[in-house]
Amino acid sequence: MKIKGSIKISILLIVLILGGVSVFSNAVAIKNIKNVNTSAEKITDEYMVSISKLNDIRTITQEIHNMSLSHIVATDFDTMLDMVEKIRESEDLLNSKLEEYKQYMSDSKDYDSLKESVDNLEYYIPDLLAYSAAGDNENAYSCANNQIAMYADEISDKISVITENTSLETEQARASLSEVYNDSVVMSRTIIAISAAAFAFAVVIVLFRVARPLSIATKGMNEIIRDIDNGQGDLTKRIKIVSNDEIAALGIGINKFLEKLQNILKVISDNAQNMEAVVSDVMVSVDTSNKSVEDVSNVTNELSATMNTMSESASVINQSTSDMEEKVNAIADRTNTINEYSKEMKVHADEIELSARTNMENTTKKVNDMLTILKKAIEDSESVNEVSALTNEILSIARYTKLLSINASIEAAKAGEAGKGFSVVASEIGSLANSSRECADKIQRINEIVINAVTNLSENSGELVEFMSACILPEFEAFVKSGEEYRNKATFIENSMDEFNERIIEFQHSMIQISESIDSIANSVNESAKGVNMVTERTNILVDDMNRITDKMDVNKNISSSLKAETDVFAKL
Amino acid sequence: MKNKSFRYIGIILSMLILMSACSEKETTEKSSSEVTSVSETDNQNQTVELKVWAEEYDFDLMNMMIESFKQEYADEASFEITIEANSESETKDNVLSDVHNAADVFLIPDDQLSVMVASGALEPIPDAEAVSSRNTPESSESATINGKMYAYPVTADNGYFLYYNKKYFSEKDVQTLDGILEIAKKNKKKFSMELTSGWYMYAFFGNTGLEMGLNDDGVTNHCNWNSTEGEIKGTDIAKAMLAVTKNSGFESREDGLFVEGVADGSIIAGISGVWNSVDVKKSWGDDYGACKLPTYTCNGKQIQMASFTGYKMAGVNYYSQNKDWAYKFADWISNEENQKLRFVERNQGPSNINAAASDEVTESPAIKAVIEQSEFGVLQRVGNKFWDPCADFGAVMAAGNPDNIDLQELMDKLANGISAAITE
Repeated sequence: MKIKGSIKISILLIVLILGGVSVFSNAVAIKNIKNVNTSAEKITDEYMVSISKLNDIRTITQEIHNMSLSHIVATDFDTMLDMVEKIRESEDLLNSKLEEYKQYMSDSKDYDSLKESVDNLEYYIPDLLAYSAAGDNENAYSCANNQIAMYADEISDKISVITENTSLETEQARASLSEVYNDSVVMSRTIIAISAAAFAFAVVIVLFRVARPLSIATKGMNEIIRDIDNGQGDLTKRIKIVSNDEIAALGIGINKFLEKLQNILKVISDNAQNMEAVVSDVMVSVDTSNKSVEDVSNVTNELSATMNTMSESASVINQSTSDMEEKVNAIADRTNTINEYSKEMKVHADEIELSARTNMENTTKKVNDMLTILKKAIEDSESVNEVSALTNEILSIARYTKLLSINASIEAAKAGEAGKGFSVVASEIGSLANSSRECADKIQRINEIVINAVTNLSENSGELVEFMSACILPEFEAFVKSGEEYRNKATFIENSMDEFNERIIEFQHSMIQISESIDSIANSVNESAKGVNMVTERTNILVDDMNRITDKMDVNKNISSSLKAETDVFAKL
Repeated sequence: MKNKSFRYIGIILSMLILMSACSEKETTEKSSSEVTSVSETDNQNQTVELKVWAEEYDFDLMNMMIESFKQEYADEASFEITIEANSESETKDNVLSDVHNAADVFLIPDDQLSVMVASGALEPIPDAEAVSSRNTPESSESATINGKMYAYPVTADNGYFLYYNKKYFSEKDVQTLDGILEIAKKNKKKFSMELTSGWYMYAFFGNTGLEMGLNDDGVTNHCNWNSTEGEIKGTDIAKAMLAVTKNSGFESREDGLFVEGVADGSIIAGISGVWNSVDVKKSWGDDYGACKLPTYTCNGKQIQMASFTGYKMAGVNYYSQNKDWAYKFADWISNEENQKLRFVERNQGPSNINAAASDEVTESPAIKAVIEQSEFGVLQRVGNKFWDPCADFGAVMAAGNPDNIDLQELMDKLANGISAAITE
């Protein structure tokens, strides 16, 4: 049977009705409680409190009275001041209590009367204090016992009256409280009845509109699930729809869902089979790859070994090269030394040659000079011959002079006395001529000696010069020639050594280059070895990956198997 | 179908809500009556009535201060301030005998403070710190009890000293009482003091080594003026006093009559305070002199006459109807300006620090004399029982002990009377 209508609306209606009834009943209950509370509050807050406050007022009044008496009997200043302060505090308290009490007074007349008494009391307290402080105890006591006492009593009496009135009002409040309570009970009972009716109605609606359609739909669902559990799943089955509301909509939804599920499972089944095929292919390829990888691995291992060997060789070569380098360096050093030495030799040779030449030249020059001088000397010595001539002349002069003198003497003698002097002179001249003649003789003799000496000297010098020219100078020349030859040889050696040095340096460079080349070969070999290692590593990784792929493929295989198993549950798809 | 359902639901819902709301309304409303307190005490532009007590000779001065006060607060209120004559020494009695009708503001000497406070007629002043700091520490201290300030210091010269007419006395003459009396006698004039007042009579006792003072209870005294031991005995002082009073140059006169005697020329020297300085100066003109009290002869020695020092202060009646304005007025008449005015008009020494530091004040002969004498004086702190016995004793001394009463007996009576309990 298809029932028309919306469940939502029905349920909403039920909820509203029930909720409304609940709210209404609670509101009524609250109202009743409030009434009760108001009455009770009135009793406690107003009447009880007001009585309490009145008692406070009475008590404070008594205290003030007592304190004022204490002030009178006080014998020291501090006590008096203390009393004054306390009385003031109490008066303030009294006034505030009175003020608070005012709101509880229904009748303001009573309050005003009480206030008047309090004011009167407060009026006379200062007088009492003044008399007491001034030492006028008579007036102080009089004040205390008359005005103060009178007004204190008045206050007490008035309070008693008010208290009594308040008690009466309390009783009345109690009575009205009971009334309110009874009314509340009746009202509550009525509300309970209404609530029960609303509840019954709600139950009926729910049963027909909600429970029945739900159970039908549930039954259909359970059947389908049971079949699946038994491995006889039939995705062509659908749920029965019996109404036209939200529950029906739910059933329709489930049916649609089943349809979609049917389609999806078909797809899954097909795909599972495909996957299985793919997995097999992949496994084959993985095997092939594994084999290839193995080969590569072996090759690289060999390569690695070769690299190592090469590396070792390179090391050895490097070592040899190093040794050679050392030796070459040693040779180079030695060559350098020889080169230095040959240079020195050359220099030395140059010096020798130069020195020999110089000496030769000097000697030659000297010889020549000497020759020249000798020649000149010989020439000059020939002048000695002239000396003979000159002396001969002198002799002749001397002879002539002698003659003269003789003549002169003769003449002088002829002159007689006047000629004495002249005869002296003549004699003198005669002497002179003699002397000159002697001298000239001497000179001649000496001159002869000299001429002989000079001639001797000249002859010997000539011999010497001859000897120098014939023997010494040639020796010098030969010496110079030797020097020249020596120098040439030294030069030759020097040049050879220079050349040799250059070769050695070149050789050194070559050695260095060789060494460097060997190094680079070694480096390259190392690099290659590293490369080969890396290849090996990578190959290993590749092998691992291959293995992983294999594992994964196994997993996939399992998946596809299990998928297949699941879809086998459905006999009809 | 759906629309109909919604309609039904709507109706039911609104009904329920209405019913709930109605039941809420019925709850009684508690009326909270508000107590409106009228707390305005001093409305603006109200007429403020104040009653002030002052010495009659201070009326002009007080009127000046009242006028200036009215001007100062003209925009806040209008005032009706009345002055009544009152002797400052009787302020305490006058206030305490009828507190409700006493003045709102009055002046008291410092010795009356404690009783006024104990009676509740004075309460701690509102601006104590400001007032205390503008007055000398001693004057503020004298207005303070148990750390609370109860009045406004006004003068710091409440002591007494010697006035003398320079026409008759040189500075040397006034060093001794004997010297003064001789000169007075010679000129047939008088030296006067109020011997019947314990306040002045104290001068003969203060520096003798005998003791008299207030007990710790603050109301009773201790007194050994009748002592028979020590260098100076009680009877020695009595003898000395009689020697003075029997001299024809001496006259015991109330302080109030002192200026009269000065004016008519019968008194050429006397003991009084600064309150009379203006009148004395008026009478004696350039011959006006003031200095510390002289020494007197006692048991063969020259003893410096002692004195009571003190301060005057303005008090506000606790029971005043316009207490706030009363405080303002008390503060006004005790401020620096008005203390200066008080000095100028009445030659009274200010307690205000600034006013007291002025040249005119420090050079006033009367003030100088007070300060000089204060070295030999003490603050007057005596219980109530001090005065009557002194008055009686002083009267007997002034009369010259006509009945020849035994001096020791007299001294005993005096000492016992002073140290009696307050209940006696």
